[in-house]
Amino acid sequence: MGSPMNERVSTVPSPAPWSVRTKREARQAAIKSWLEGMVYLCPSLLLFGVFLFYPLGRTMYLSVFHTDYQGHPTEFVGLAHFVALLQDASFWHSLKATVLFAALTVPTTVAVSFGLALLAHETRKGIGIFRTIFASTMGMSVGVASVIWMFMYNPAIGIINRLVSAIGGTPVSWLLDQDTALYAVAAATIWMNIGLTFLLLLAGLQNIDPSLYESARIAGMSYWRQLWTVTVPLLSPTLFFVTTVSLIQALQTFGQIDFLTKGGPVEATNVFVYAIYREAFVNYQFGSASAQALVLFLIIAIVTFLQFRFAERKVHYQ
Amino acid sequence: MKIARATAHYVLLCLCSVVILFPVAYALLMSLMDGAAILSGRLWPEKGTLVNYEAAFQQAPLGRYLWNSFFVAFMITVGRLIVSSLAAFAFVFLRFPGRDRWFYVCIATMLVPWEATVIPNFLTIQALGWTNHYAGLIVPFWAMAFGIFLLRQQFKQIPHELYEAAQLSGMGNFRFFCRVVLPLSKTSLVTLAVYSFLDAWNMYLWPLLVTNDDRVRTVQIGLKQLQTQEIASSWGVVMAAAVIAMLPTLLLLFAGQKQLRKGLMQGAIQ
Amino acid sequence: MAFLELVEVTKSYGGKKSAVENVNVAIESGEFFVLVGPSGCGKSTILRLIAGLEPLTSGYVLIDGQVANDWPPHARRLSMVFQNYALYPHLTVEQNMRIVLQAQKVPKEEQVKRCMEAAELLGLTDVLHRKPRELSGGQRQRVALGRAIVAQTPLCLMDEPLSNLDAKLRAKMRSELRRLQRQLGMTVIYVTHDQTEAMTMADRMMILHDGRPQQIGSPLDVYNSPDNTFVASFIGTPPMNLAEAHVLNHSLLLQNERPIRLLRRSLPKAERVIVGLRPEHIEPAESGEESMAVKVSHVEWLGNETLVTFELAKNLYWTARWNGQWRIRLGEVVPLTFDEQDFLFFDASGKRIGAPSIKREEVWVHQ
Repeated sequence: MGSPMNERVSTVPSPAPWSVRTKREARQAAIKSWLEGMVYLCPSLLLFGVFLFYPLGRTMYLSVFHTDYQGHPTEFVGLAHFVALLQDASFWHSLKATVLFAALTVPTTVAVSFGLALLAHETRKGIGIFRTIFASTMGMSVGVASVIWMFMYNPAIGIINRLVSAIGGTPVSWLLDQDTALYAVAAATIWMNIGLTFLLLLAGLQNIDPSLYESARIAGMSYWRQLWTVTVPLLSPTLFFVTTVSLIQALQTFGQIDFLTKGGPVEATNVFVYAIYREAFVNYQFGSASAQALVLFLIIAIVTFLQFRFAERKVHYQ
Repeated sequence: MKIARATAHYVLLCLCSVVILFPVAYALLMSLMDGAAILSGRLWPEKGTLVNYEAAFQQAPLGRYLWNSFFVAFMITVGRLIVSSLAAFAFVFLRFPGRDRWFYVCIATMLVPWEATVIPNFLTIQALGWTNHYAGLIVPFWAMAFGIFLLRQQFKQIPHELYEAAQLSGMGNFRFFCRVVLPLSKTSLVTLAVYSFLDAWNMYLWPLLVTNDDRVRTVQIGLKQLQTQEIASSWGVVMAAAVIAMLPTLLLLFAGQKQLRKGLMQGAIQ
Repeated sequence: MAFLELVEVTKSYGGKKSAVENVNVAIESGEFFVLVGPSGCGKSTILRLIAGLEPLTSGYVLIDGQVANDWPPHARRLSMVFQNYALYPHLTVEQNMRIVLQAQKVPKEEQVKRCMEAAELLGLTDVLHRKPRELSGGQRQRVALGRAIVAQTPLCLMDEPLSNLDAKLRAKMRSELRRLQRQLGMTVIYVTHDQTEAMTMADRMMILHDGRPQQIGSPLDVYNSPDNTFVASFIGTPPMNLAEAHVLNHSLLLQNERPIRLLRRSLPKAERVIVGLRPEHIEPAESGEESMAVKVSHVEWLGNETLVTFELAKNLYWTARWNGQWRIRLGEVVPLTFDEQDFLFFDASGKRIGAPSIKREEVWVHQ
C-alpha cells in the first residue's frame, strides 16, 4: 500500500562525510574552543596563580631559608627551622592552646546550634522571629563581637563580673588570668559562630522528609527515640559538614585573639595563627614563620583527612 | 497536654533568645548611657543619651572606617561574583581540552589554608606598592573556589537544551551567559553575594597587615584602634561605635535571610 | 459494633473552607475500604485524621465503640503505608521492618520471626540486608508494606501506595495487596485517586469531592446506582455520557437538538433533567432497530473493544463502547440503539432522581 518511502529521485551528490574534513580545520577548531574556555577561566586562574599557588610555593621556599627584615632569603638552612620548632617549648605550648581551643569551641558550637535548630524547627506562631534571633550572630563581625565581649569581661565594670558578684562569687580577671583566658575567648568564639552553624543545621533539618517522623509517631516512638533514630542519622551529612568546617575554622582563629588577649597572658591563648603572625610581622622572622605556616597546613590536612576517614563512615548519605 | 508542651517550648525559645541577644542588647544599652552612668554599674539608662554616638564619630574617623569596609566588601563581592561566574560558566557549558583537570585544580585551592600563603602575599602586595591602598585589600580575594563550586552546581541545573537552542539560534556564548544563565541563577548569586559580603566585611588579619593608615582602614581594625584609645575611660563611646558597625551586617543578614536559607539548603547536602 | 466509625467528622484549617466536612461512615472488621476521589478532595486528610496525625475540628472518631479523638497515633494500634514509603534510608530492609517492633518493645526472637515471615510473604528474603537506595520502586513499596505487616495491628492505612509504580507493576501489586489483606485478615483503609484501583480492590468505597462524601457503597452499587452526576462520571472508564435535556411527553430533547423517544420508560416529573447513559449501553443497531443515527467523530480500537465517539448535538460528544473490532470510518453515519431502562436521570443540581439519599446511621456515642 503506498509508494516506498525515501525513494531517491534527485541526482545531486550527497555531501562528503565528516572524516573528509581537513585535519587542520579540526585542530583549529580545537584551539579556538580551548582559547575561548581559557578566556573565561583566565581571571580565576591568574588570581589563583598569583595569590595562591605562587605564595604556597614561596612559603615552602622561604621555610628553608633565613630571611632578612624585608623578607628576602639570605642563607639556606634546610630543615633547621622545623627542627628548631620541634624543640621550642613555645611551639608545643601553642599547639596545646590551639587544640584545647578547638576542643572547647567546636563540639559546643555544634551541640548548641543543633539544640537551637531543633527548637526552631517546629512550626509555631512567631517561630520566624526566633529563627532570625538565633541566626543574628552571623551578622556580628569579629571586631564588633570582640569589643563587646571585651567590655563584658572587663574586671571592674563588665557585666559578667557584676553578675558574679551579685550571686556572691569573687570577680575574675577573665582575659588577664592565665587559667581563664582561653576559656573566655572560647566563649566569645562560640557565641560568634552559633549564627551560621544554626542556619546550616536548620536547613539540614528542614530537608528531612516529614513522613519519616509520622511513620515513627504511628509506631509509637518517643520524642527522644525519634531524635536518635530519625533526626541524627538523616542530619549526619550536614552535621559532618558543619563539624569539619568549624574545626578547620577553629584551627585558624586569629581575630578575637588579637583583639582580646594578644596571645597572652603568658602565651595562654597563643594559638597557632597568632604565633605565626607574631613571628612574621612582629619579629620579622619570615623564614621561621613560613615553616610554622607549613606545619599548620600539614596539621589541617591531617585533621581533615582523619575526619573523612573515620567520621565520614558514620554519615548516612541518601 | 498540648498547651503545656507549647508553653514549655516558648519558654525555652525565649530563654535561648535572651542569652543569644544579651551581648548585643547590653552593648546597645551601654551605648545610650554616659560615662558616669556606666561606671556606676547601672544596667538600664536613666535617661538615654546619644552623646556617645557623637563622640564615636569625633574621636575616630568612624564614618571613614565604615565607608572603607563597605567599599572594600562591595568591590570584593562584585569581583568575586564576576570572576566565579565566568569560571563556573566555562566549566559547565564550554567544552575544551583539560576542562575537568582545571576544575580539580580550582577545587584543590579550597584545601590550602590562607596562612600558608599570607606571608608571601604580604610581600607581593608590598612589592606592588599596594599597601595602604584599596587594591591591596580587594584584588587578592577575587578568586574564590567556593564561589566557583557553588555557581557550578547552580549552572548545572539549567537545562542543557536552553544552551543548545541558543547555539542553534546563533546566540554567542557571552550573550547566553548574560541573558540566560545569570538571570536564572539569581538565588545562588544572591546567596554568594550575601555570604561574600559578610565574609569580606569580617576580614581581620589581612587588613591589619596591609593598612596602617586611617584613610583605608576598615572598621574591624578601626574598632580595635578606638578601643585602645578609649580604654577604661569611655566604654560607652566604644559600644556606640560597635552598635553602628554592626548595623550594616545585621541589615544585610535580615534582608538576605530568606535567600541565604534557600541557598544554604541547596548547598547544605554536600 | 463497627470496627471504626467516623461521625460528622469535619476538619478545617484556620477558618478557611473546610478540607473535609460531615463525613459519616462505619467500617467493619476485615473490610477493604477505599477512599477515592480527585486530587485535593480530602481523602488523605481523612486518613490522617483516622491515624491521629492531625486533630479533628469537630466530630468523632470511634474505635471499637470508644471515642478516640484524643488518642495519640500509637494508642490507636494502626500501621500506615505512605505514598513515598517513608523508609529510613540509613537502615537496611530488615532494620526498617523491625524498628516498629523495637519501639513497641517486642522481644527480639519475635521480631526476627515476624520479619522473616513478612519477608517471605513479600518475596524480600534476598534483600533483607540491603539499604533502600539499592532497591527498585516495587521492592521499596513491598518493604513499606512489610513494615505494616510485621506490626500486626488490626487496622492498616494506605495512602496511595501504588501511585509511584509504573502501570504494569501497579496492576500486579493490586491483586497481590488484596490477596495479602485477605490472607492476614487486616482491616484496610486505602486512599487512591484512581477509580480503577478503587473498583478492583474495594469491598466498599467512599467517593469524595471537595471534602464532601458523595456516596458510600460497594463497587457495583456505586457503578450501577450513582447518587449524583459526580459519582456517575467519576466511576467508570470511559466515563458515563451526560447531557442536559428537556422532558416532554414521551420523549427527551437532549441539548435542545436531539430528540429521543421513550415509550417504555416513565419519565421524571421535572421539566429539565440531566440524562446519563453508560458507553457500554449504546450498541450498534441492526437495520430497523435503530433509535438514532449519529456522525462518528473519533474511533479508538483497543483490540477487544472499540470506542466510538460521536456528535450527539452541537459541541456535545458521547462515547459508545462496542465489543470486538469494528470497521468504522471517521465521518460515517452509524445507527445506534439502546435500552431505555439503562437511562439514569439527575435533577438540575446533579442529584439522582429516584436514588436514596445518603443514609445516616444512628450512632450511640460512648464517652
